[in-house]
Amino acid sequence: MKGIVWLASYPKSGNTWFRTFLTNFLRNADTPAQINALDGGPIASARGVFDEVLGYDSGELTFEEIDALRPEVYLHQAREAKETLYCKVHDAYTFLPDGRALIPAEATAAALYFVRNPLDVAVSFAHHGGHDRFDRVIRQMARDENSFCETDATEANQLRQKLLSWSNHVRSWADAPGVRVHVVRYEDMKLRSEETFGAAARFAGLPDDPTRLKKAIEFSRFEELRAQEEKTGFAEKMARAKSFFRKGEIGSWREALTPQQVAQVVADHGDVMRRFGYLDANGELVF
Amino acid sequence: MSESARVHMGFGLRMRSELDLPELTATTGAEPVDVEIVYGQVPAELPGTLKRGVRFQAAADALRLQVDGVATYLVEQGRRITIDRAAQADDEDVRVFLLGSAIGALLHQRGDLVLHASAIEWDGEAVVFLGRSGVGKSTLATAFRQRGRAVLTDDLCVVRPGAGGRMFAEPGFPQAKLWLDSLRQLEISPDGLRRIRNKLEKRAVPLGTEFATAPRPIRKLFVLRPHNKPDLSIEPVLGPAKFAVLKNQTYRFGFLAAVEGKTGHFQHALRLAQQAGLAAVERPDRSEFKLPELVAAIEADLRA
Repeated sequence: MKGIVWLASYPKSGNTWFRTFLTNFLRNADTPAQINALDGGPIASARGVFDEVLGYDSGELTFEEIDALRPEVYLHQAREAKETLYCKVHDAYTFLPDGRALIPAEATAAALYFVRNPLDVAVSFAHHGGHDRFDRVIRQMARDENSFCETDATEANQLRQKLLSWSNHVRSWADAPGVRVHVVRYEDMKLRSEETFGAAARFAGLPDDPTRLKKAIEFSRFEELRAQEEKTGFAEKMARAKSFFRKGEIGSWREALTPQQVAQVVADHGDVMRRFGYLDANGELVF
Repeated sequence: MSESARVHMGFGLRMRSELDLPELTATTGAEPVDVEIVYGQVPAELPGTLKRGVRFQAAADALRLQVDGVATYLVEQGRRITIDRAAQADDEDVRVFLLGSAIGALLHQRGDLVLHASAIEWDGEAVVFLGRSGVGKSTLATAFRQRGRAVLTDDLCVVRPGAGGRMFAEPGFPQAKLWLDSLRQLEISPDGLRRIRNKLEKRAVPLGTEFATAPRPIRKLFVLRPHNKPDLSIEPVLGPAKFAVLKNQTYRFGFLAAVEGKTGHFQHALRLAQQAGLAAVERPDRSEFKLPELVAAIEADLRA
C-alpha cells in the first residue's frame, strides 16, 4: 500500500499495544520485540522529523504556521517512503482555516482508529499524568480546546496536537472524509483477540497468516509488556507516571470513579458511547 | 550594494548586509568582506536541485529556503545570501531565519563543520553542548555565563581546524535565544527583553561583554539527552559512537546531502572525534529538570 497507514487514537486507548503487536508481526521473530524499539514511530507530531523535512526550526514558528505546513510534510513523507509507513497519531482529524485537512487524505493509505471506553480512558489518563484527579481529567476530556504540547513558555518536545473532546476526537477520525478508516475497540482487542487483530492487520495491508498473527498477539500480551517495562523502563512513559503498562484491563473504572463521575462522562459522551457499543439500547453501560 | 550596508562579524566571517543585523558585532576596517547579504528576487525553482524538502531546495553549491510570510533566501557558494522578503515581513522575522538555517547553509557551503550546539569558554578552551532543538543548549550556556564563563555561541557551533592541528570552535554572535521557562530557571526577567518574533514568547538576550571574541580549541563536547527518569548521569561516549553523535548533531544534516565535497565535513568530524572527549548527559526531562545540579555535574566532570 502506498502512503501512510495512520495508527490513530485518543491517548490511553490501546495505540501502544497495537504498535507492539504490529512490531512483532512485522519482525516475525522467535522472541518478543523490545518495547523501546517499536514500529509506528516517530509520532506524527514529532518535532525532529518535521524540522528536517521543512528546513528550519519549528521552535521559531507559531502553532498556526506549523499547522499550515504539516499537510505538506506528510505528503512529502508519503511520496518519499519506499514502503508502507506506519505512523502513530494522537491529533484529532482537523481542518485548517483554508479547508485543508491537517492529515491529508492524499498522503493516507488507510487509518486504524483505536477507541476505548471513555470511563477507562479517564482513569488511565489520570494515572499517566501521575495523579488521581479524575474530575479534572473528565473535564478536560469534555473540552474541544484540549490539546497536547500547547505551551508558549517553552519548546514542547512535540508539535501541538489538538485533541478536541473525546467524542469529537472519535467522530473526527471515524467520519474523516476521503479516508479509509477501520475502527478497533480496545475491548475487542482483549476479548476477541485473533478476530480483532486479524481484521486490523488485513485492513492495514498485512499478509493473512494465522500462525504469524497468533505469535504476534502472544508476544504483545499485557504481562509481557509489563515485565519488559519493569526490567528496562519504557521510554514513552511520562516521568510522573509510576508505570505505563499499569493494568490493561476492561472496566477498571468501576473501582476508581464515583457514580457522579460516571454520570458526567455519560452525559458528556453518551452519543458516541452508544454508537460504539459502550452503552446499549437501554442506556446501560456494557463494559 | 547600498553604501549604508553595514559590515558585521559572525562565525569568523566579515558579512556586509543590506539588512541591519544588530545581533552581530559591527566591525570596521578595510579587510575584504567574506559574505554579501543583499535584497533581491529569488526564483521559484533552484536550478540543479539535488535534494528537495518541504520548504528548501538544495543544489551542489546553492540552497533556496522559503519561510512563508517572511522571506525566501537564496544562499550561494558560501559567499552570498539574497533575501526576497514578503511585503508584510518584520525585520526580526527575516533575521531569525537568516541567522539560523540560511547562515547554516552558507557555512556548510564553505566546508565548515556546523554543529547544532552552544559553546562556552573554559580555561582558554571550548566546551560544546550538543543536542536537539529545545533540549537546553542555550539555557546551559547562559547558566555558565552567569558563573563567569564567556559564551562562544548559542545555537550553531562552527568548527574549523586551527593552530597546532586542533579543531577550534568559532564565536557565533553575542545573543542567546531563551524561552520563558528558561529565563525563570536562570532568574532573568523577561521584561525589557525583545521577542525574537513578535508572535512568539521566546526572547533575545544580548550577551554583551560575556561573549568570547576569539576561537578556542575544543576540549570536550557534551550531548544532552533528556529521559523520563529522575537521575542525572554523565557517561563517556567512546569509539565509533563518537563520530555517530557528531554526525547526528550536525546542523541541518539534510542540507549537506547536496553539498559538493561533503567529505570535508566528515574529515573535520573525524578529527574532532579523535581529539576531543565526548560525554552523554542523561538528565531528567522537563518536569524534573534542575539546572543548578546539571551545571554542577558538568563542572565536576570537567575538573575531574
